Amino acid sequence: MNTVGILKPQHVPWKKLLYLKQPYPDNYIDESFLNQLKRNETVSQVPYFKLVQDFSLIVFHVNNLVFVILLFAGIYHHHWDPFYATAVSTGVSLLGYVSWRLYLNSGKKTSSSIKSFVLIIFVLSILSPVLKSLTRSTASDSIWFLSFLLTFANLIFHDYAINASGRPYKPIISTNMALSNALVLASRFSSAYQVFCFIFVAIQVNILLPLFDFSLRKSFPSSHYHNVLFTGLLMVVYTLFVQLCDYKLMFLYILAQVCIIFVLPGYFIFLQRYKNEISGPWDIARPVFRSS
Amino acid sequence: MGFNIAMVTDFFYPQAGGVEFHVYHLSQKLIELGHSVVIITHDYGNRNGVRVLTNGLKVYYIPSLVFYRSATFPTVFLGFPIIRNIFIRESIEIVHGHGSMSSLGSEAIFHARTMGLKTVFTDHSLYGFADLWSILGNKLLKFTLSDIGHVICVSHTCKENTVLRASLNPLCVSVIPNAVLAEDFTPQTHKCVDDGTITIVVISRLFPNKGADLLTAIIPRICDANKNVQFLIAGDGPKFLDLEQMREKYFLQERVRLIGAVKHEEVRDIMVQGQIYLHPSLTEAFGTVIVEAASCGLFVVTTKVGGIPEVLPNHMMHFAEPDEDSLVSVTLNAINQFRSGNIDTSGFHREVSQMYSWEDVAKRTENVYNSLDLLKLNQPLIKRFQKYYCCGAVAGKLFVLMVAIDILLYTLLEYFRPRDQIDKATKWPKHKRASGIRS
Repeated sequence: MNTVGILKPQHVPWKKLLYLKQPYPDNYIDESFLNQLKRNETVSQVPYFKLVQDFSLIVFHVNNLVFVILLFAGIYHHHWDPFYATAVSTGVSLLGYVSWRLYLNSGKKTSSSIKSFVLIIFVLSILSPVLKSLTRSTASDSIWFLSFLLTFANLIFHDYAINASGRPYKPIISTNMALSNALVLASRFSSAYQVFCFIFVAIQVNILLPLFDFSLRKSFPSSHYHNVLFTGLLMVVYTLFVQLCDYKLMFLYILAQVCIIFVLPGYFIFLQRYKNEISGPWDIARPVFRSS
Repeated sequence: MGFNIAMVTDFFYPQAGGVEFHVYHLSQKLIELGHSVVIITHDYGNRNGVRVLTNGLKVYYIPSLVFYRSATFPTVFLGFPIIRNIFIRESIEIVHGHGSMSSLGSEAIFHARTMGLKTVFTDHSLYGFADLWSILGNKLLKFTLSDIGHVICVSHTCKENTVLRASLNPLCVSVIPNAVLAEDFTPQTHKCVDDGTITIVVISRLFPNKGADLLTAIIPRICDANKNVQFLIAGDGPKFLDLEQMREKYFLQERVRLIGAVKHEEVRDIMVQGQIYLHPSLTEAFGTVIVEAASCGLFVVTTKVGGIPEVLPNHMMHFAEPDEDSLVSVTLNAINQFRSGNIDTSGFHREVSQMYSWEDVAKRTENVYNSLDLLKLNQPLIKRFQKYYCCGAVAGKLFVLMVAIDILLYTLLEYFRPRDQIDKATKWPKHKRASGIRS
């Protein structure tokens, strides 16, 4: 009979079994206690360079969002003619579309994508006068803040798709937020022409460009096409920055980006040492099925 | 004189399950040992108020808000007045909570410590550390067990798990297994006509964590490999449809019988229709059903997870890894061994009845009760605060606040509902049993 507190001479070694009546108290602790405990089993050390690449996706997306905001600032405050921006971005988009058709994707029908493209343009041109007056009764400050919130949430909830291979890419939340942001900002303009052009460019940059970039990374994982695209976007954003703001702000912006790309991965690796993941026989087993 | 014990749990009759039977049988055996036991649980529909079961086992069904799968909403303080009233009314000395997901049990232990009573907690299940619910549940468990007298776990694996989850001193944790009423699980006395057909029995709630997906995957393969095998599956759950679809897809209607949910009384009659019991679960603290199956004279094929390897000796069960190929090959191997007569199940019932009995469980639990020392438990308040404060950076401060509020509530209750105005309940007359009196 096992009793608490009474220890008989331990001739028989203790066994981790319940059906045996063993001469040990019920609260006996054997040397084997917790020897099946495993710590940090699933933790894998990611090389620094791979992390740098992954973190650069954040900077890519930030530039993506900042581009639209800068374009808005240019049209709204400096009265740029939105025609040139629209023409250039549409030209680049068409180029991208052709290369996408030729090299990246052959599944979708050309007619259907052209149909939806035309449809969006028409809907946009019909709605532009409505959107123009959408937030007339709202103060500009509220709009700036709303835009900030939408951009920030977009940054957080965006699907960065670090592993491009093998999974479908559906950045639903960030697509919706980018479109809302464009609509909210566009409602500040005074003419329907500006509204149309701005939303048109915003859709191309914030929605189509990430999709295109994803296809690039998926189809050519080892090539530098993504980096070329990334650098091109950086050049455009920096040019806009120089046009609109002073160098000090631009310097800060670049510094922040360098931090994200090079310092944060190091911090991420540093934080790994605090990882304390416990696993053992009590965890729910992962069933293995024969792949068929 | 025996102790006055209150078993507190969210899970009790009319619900059926491992915790429910454990509480009931343990209480009955403790009453036989000369203790007085009451059970406190929440109301089940129109089953509320006070009920008296066999041998004067009194059950309080107290009104509460049911939250998820018959666990009550963790209100922490709302139950205090009625719980205090019952403790005083029944002159309770020991409060014994069951089941870590039972917030009523946790609350009762918390309030019992405020009132300076002895507390024991029995953990019946295993939890991981990774997902959000486990993290919250583990914090709650830490809160409950910070000031506990003693903890009982149903298996050694469960003990390791609980010690880690609640950061306990392992000396304060005893392992006392579940038991089965062996007389309720007797093997078939007359063997039916032996035509070489082997029936594999599965009795399980068909949930993903019980391995229902594995079951769905292996049945067609076993049926394909062995033409003289039948399946008998009892239990209901979200995966029932998958099994039905599998049966239709592979035209196994003749060989796979699905009988849905069964009452616990019927389990034995279903089990004895088969020769092999298959248990594909993915997690299990103890696995009472395996012991029941072995007691019915069935050979057990099970996944090697949780506390299962501790439960039965190797000649009664074969282990498989929780993967499809392993389960199929181990089951087929068991079928072949059974056919060739290498497995003799005739002695299983006798062996199991010697391994597990509720008397043994009750006596070992009684030992735990005897080991509780109020002088050691009731330390100065600052010590109690200290224990709770160490539970975490934010949680610690919150817990200390809760303890303080609880003490305040207790003082208020003592003032507005004085102790001496609460009627003492008459205890059920005790039958003198020579073996029952504690030495």
